[in-house]
Amino acid sequence: MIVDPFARLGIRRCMGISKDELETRYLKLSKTCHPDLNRTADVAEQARILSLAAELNDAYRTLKNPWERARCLIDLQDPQLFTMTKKLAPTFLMTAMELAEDVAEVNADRAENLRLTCKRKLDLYLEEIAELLLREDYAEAAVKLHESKYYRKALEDLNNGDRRAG
Amino acid sequence: MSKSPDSDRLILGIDLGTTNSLAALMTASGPQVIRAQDGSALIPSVVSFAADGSVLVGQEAKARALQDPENTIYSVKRLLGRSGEELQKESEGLAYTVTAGDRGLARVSIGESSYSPEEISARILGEVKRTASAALQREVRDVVVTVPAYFDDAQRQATKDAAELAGLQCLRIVNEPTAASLAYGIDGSKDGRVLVYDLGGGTFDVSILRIQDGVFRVLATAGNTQLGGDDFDRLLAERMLGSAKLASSALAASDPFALQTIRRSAEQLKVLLSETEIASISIDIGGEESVEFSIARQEFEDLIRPLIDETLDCCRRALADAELTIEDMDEVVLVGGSTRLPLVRKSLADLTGRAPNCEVDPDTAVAQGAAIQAGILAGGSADLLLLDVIPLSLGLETMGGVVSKLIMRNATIPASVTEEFSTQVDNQTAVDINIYQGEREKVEDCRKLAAFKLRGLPPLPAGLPRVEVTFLVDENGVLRVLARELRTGTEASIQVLPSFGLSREEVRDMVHDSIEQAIPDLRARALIEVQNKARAMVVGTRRALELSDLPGDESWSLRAAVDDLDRLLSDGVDEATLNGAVDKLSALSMQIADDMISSAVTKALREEA
Repeated sequence: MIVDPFARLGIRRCMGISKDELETRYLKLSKTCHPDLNRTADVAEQARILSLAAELNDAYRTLKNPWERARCLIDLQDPQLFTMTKKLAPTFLMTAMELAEDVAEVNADRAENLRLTCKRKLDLYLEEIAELLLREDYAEAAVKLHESKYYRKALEDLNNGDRRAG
Repeated sequence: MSKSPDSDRLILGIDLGTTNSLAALMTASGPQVIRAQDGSALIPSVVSFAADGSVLVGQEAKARALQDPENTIYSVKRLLGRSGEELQKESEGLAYTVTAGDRGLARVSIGESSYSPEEISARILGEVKRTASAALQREVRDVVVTVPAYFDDAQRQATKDAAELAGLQCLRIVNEPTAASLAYGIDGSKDGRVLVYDLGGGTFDVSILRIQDGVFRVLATAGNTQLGGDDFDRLLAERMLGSAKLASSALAASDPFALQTIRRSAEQLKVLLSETEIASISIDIGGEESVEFSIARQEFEDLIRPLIDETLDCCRRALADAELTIEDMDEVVLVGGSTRLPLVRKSLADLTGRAPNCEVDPDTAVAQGAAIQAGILAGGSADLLLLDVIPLSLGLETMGGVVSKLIMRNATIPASVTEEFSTQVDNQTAVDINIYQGEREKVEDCRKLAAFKLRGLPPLPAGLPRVEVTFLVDENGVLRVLARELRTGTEASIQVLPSFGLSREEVRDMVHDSIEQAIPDLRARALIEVQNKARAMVVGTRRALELSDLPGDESWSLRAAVDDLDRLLSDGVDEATLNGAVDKLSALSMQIADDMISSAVTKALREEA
């Protein structure tokens, strides 16, 4: 049972959603279902509202992030597609390998540069994926989303590296 | 405020602080701080146990700190939800004694007896309750209690337990900086992005909030639950003890009286240094003698600068997590008594490029915010809403001691994740799930919150039962776990064994004042638990060994440890022996997991190719 986050927030199912609209819908819906505003309800109703509120927060978190949004669009089309798309081009794997090494060996001076490169690359991927999804080429979108995952992971590692050092 | 609060529903907002506690109540004209007859609002968070058996709380207890330091407990908030071991370094500087009790939990020793931090905190909450009930001429029962935003699940649970022990019903736990932001932005004219910097007596929090049409939404939070004004006092006290005059005096650093005298003097000096560039104090060293100690503000600031720098790092981290920069902030709000320090204000001004907002009263803003939240719960402020976040990621222990994250830090709460579990042996009817909180990858670097035991599974071949477990973090930031067996529809029951703080049963027992402990019972239960854990480890590790392609020597040592444990199990050895073998095996598999993580990226790539 997958909850469709787009339906949960009442916005059109697509990559190019308006951030403002998403936020407005989310805040409005939060005011209709939050445990704090339903204290007089009975126990069963309070439990239902609690899980609805959790569901709403999860839906907003998914749609707010463009990578998760793309993943969600692919999953809604075909829940198996993304996980089944395992085969990536050998040339890409070489690049990914080098990226992993760069991240592992990066020093403080170069971290910011590498971070920017990864960020730019991820943004480019997301633009490409948005176009593929618009053309309903879900299979290729899934491949590109897999590839972009390595840049996303690299960014995460770079940020966490900072955290650990600090 | 569209409606006036339900007049039958009295909900008090309480700021349970490290140094002082206080309460406030929402009224038609806004939050009102509760004051005692003498006009004072702050109740010192101090509890003193007198020789005649009486217990003093608040101002009277604080007055006894110098004459009876060993039996006068202050800063107990720093002990909440923590183990004796974690507090070892912490407790060295205290004038009273902290020991490790059952399950290694911190306890405070008073003469022959000892108390849990929850019990001491309950005394403070009881005093707040009495003061408020007297001021309002009504019995107080329902409360909203604030905690540092960076408190983890165990510390939050301990706070709730303390309220229960004080005969209060804690309807909601609210994060202190979030509460302060309510007090700051309640008039509705402050929409925008706000950084709340909350430096109290024992804890530090920073929260980044978005205020929008009555919704106070926390975007990110960071902090340190063991950093506050107490630490500044401690550093200053160490400097004083190290000074030639005091070092050669009759004062011994290990003497509780001396410790308390120096601590008190350090606190006074700190306050003086906020006003003047140089301050001095005369310290009574006993026997009619006194020693004069003076220090320049600059020197004091050099002492505490590393700690202030740490708070600034937290600010940067919270901003990064919120994906915002300091330029995006419309306001920087200061809360907590320690923000009176000139160095704090100057450092923040340097970081943010503007003067911080000092509109809210740093001492009462948190209690006022708690009162506003209490008003929301009572149904009086339907146009206001708080959306808070979980401060630290929650995860599960997976094979080899690795934590797999379920809910990421700074996720808006309530938040939930559903995972499926199965069994590893035929006819297995229980499954163990270990929950950790923290940002690191391995279990030993995170805090174990609890062990959950799923019971009542239908006896089926291994792997066949499908148990759906939902981990739900509620609006208080407290974890709830729900489980269901999907194949047969059986409700699986869950037994929770918290790693810190009190178990549900313990709280119930204490509330009913029947503290007769059935020790043989507990021992038997402990043994069964270790046996179950050992059995699960034997099966799990053997299965993992079959599946993985470990190098020969590693797999040999692991196999030997598994066989060892299996033999001890069938020999029916005692709990301690079995525990030793379990620890040995987990250490070994953890070390192997370590090697696996370091090569994980390359391996994942190889598999995909």
